[in-house]
Amino acid sequence: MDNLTEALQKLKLASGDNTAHGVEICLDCLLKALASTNTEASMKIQEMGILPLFPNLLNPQSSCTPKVANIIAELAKNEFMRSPCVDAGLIPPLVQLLNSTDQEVLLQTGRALGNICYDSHEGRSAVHLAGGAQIVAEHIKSLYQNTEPENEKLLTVFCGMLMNYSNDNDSLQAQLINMGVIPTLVKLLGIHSHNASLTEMCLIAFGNLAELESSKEQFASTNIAEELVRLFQKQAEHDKKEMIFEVLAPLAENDVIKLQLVEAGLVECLLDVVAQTVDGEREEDIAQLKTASDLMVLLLLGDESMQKLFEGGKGSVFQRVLSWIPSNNHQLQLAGALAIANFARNDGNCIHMVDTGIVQKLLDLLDRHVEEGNVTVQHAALSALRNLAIPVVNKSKMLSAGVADVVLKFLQSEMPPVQFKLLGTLRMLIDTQAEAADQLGTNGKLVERLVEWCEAKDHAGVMGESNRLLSALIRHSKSKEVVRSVIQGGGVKHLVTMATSEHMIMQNEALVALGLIAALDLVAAEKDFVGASLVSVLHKLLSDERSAPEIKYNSMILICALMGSEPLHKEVQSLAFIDVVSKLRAHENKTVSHQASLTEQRLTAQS
Amino acid sequence: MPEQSNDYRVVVFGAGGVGKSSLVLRFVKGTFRDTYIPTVEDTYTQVISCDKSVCTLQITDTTGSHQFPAMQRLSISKGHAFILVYSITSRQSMEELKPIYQQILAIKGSVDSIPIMLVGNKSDETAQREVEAKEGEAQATTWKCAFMETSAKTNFNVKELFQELLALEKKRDMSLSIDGKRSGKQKRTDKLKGKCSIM
Repeated sequence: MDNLTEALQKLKLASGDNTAHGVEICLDCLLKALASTNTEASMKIQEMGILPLFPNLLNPQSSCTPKVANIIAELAKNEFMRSPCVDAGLIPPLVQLLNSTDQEVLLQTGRALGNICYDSHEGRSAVHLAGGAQIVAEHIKSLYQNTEPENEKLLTVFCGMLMNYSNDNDSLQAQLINMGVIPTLVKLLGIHSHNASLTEMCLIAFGNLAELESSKEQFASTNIAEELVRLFQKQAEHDKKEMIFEVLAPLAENDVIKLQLVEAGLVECLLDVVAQTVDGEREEDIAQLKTASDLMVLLLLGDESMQKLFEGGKGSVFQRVLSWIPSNNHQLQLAGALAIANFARNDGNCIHMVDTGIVQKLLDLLDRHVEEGNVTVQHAALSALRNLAIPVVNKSKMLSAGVADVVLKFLQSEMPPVQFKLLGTLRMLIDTQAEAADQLGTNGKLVERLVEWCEAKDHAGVMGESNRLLSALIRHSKSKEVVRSVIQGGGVKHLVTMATSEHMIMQNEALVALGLIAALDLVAAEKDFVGASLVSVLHKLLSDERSAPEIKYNSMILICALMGSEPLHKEVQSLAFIDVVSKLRAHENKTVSHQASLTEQRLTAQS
Repeated sequence: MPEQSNDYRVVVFGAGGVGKSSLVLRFVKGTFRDTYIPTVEDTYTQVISCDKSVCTLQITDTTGSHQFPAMQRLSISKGHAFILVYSITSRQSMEELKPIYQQILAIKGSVDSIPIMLVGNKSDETAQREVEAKEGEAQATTWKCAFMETSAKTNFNVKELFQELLALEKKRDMSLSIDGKRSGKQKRTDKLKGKCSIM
């Protein structure tokens, strides 16, 4: 320490003189001190007020310059030194040094700037102001093809500097992207994949930049997919594989890149990882299993990539994924169910899958998760069933296989995502299936729960789907028993509220259901219709110019049906419906105008 | 069913009646779908795992009769993050959290890498306030943890509470020790994303 103090004192005195030799000895002493006890030495250097002397010493002509830059780099390893470095005005001269042609100067300057920028807002601002990023980016562009070890070291530092500069700062990252660093870095990765440090730095860069939406398109126009898959195939260590996974995940959110990754053979790699880690008990095995299977699902979110992997249902990928569902491993069960759910995104795939026995597999999986089950697996399996139930030919098959009964086992779930998919599945199943709609519509427990969920203001999704299922049960069964059941369960008022929804689909489904209720059991529904002010609701819908033709038509049908009830008839009269309806005779839609005439006649006749 | 080893376990401690269950329920229900856009029948949907809105929340009463000491120790040792809830209307409920905090410290060794949130619930009950926000902040400063006042009743700060807790977790994963050496645990949980490098 004494030596250091001496050296610092000498430096203070000598710097005015700037005799190269004397200064150099002092600098060597500083470097030595920093190498042995960095933090303490840094504090000492700071205390002695040496920093302000450095700008003068960062002279492009001087031979000490690399050493000074090196010292700054070492100092800036400490968080408490970064702002002082900026305050001492070190950034502008350092950025100037980036124009040097001396390898060592560039290396140390890059380190210094990079370390000052580490987690430092001031550092980044100062470098930004001085235009440092541009110069470094240009260097990378001109140097990336050179594979000499010294050059690779420099490239590593420069990449690191750019990353520290832009980390956590969207606009700075965007700036780098605009400078065109992405294509350069991708090529760099391809050329230097043998160099572990440089490769790692590239991956960090990709990981940071890939978070920005604007980057993904640029990435898609490079061959990053190929490069990353190739790199992945070469890795043996968990840590290295993990790093590549971290980059793949944000990139794979882009559909074009998904397809590129599939074509580059990523899926085979993922399946290998799964096979190797599924029975592993170490934490890293468990983590890798999750990452690999999650990535697989991500690839299936894209339409093209998914279809490619489906291969008509005969492909090996599809078969492998199928085999995950009966697994004892929760993660694999989940990934399998999610994969199936995403394969099930067009009629052809769905029909094929149901024909080849997917339904029983999913039901078996759900049965394993009824008691204290895993919510994510429940949600995934129900999602798969919901999609599979869309093609008309699948509905009766799935009903015969007992899907509705299994789905009902989750009626008591308190988890909104599960509730949401349960509702969706039932609604898909009963479309065009009158018997099933009848059976479910007369299930008191189901209706009770639906009515409860219709009031779930905390989650709009469950509330919406519940209303729609209630309406669907009536519309598809057209059954008096179902109507009774809904009335008894207290569902009528919710259907009336549904008719006031901002969404036309909801309004219409409500009106049709209400029309059926009025047609099949007006007497039983009368009280609820009055209580819910149905007539006022209909008046509003008919008076509103913006209402769609279907809405106007169905409202008028309903009004006519309500005339059979004395109290409702009185309400209709008191609101002067005739006026509103007669205007609609001039409606441009013929169905509406025709119904308006009929309705007007009816209202007049009974007035 | 055995719980998954990759569940993120948040343990919620607090005296009876401070509103732990309400807070949790609020959060669980509230993070799912703010809006609903109905589509016609034949719409296939992409499916992603719902696990981002579900983490295992374990509620534990601090009143002795509800919790055996051994079980409490187990909860703490398996927990990833902790929420310590008191009610602003009860000084007693805040006192009861002190031994819990000490236990967490004792079992975990240090709280540097553990997200802990001190929560003063029932912020809507201004007339019955016994504990000022300042006191909560001061306690949190002493404990080196985060602090928030919430109301499960009015849904005030509930989402923010859990978001903050999860954000704490990420932030800690990213820290790099000064001498550049990483402990085994930190190395494993270091995320590539948002990483700086010392050169």
